[in-house]
Amino acid sequence: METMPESERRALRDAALAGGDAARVAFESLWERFRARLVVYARSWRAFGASDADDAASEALIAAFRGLSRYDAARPLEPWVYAVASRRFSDLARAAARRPARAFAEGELEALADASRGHDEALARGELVDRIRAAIAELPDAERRLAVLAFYEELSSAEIGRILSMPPGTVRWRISVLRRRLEAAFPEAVHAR
Amino acid sequence: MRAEKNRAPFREAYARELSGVATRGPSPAELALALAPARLRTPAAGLLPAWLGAAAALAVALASVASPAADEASLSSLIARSWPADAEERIATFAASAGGAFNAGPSNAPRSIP
Repeated sequence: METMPESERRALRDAALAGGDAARVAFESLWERFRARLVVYARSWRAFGASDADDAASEALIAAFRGLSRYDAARPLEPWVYAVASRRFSDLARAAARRPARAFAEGELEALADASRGHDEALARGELVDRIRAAIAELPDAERRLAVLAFYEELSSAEIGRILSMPPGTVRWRISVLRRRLEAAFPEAVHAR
Repeated sequence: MRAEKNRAPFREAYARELSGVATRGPSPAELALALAPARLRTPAAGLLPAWLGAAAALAVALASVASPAADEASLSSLIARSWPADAEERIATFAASAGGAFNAGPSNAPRSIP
């Protein structure tokens, strides 16, 4: 995923701190750039349902935007946003786990069943890209986060370490384990930084 | 070259994941939350943790001391004595934060059996 150039990062932070219309435009820009990515990332916290992941992503974006005064624009924005989101998602997931289980909303079960059928059909058709998606979606939460950050976002081990509060060496080792697992399933497609 | 080629299926997989997310702009409430001035962001944020912490400390003290006097006093009456001006509101907030586990009545009032 392409990283935001430093001049744009500075402009975004400055606009956010300026307030008024400039801040609104900056928030909408941050939203457009990160919302879908954070929804995908939030899905690696299984405590969230589909709609919770959407809400969690929005909350994380708001938290990141409000925290931009602490952001050093000399450093890439993506790891910083993902670090804020990771903390927020973990807090929200803990709160969600304490809540009593909610009933499924009307149509939600059908939507889940449709999604599952879609996965199964893709697997049956043997499309490499969909098999990769299914394999990543089925990983345990912690590995799925790692896979999203390493294989989807293509962040470095050092960046992932800062996001997940882990030493870079541990990140490298866990990615290599993950890569070996994926290599076994998709020898034609695996890579990692 | 090889790495780029190998990344392609992952990039395509990610693109499909992203395209599966329903796109929408921020709601008015989300915009308002993001843009609210810092001092207005959470009007009670500076107050709530302190007094909730104090109330929780009282609850712990009650539970650990377990003296007859403490047993007589409910947490609600302690909150009422400590913050007489807005006790009701604080009791309601504390009850909500305790997830319904807080018994706002006197300690010897009938309790439901779980």
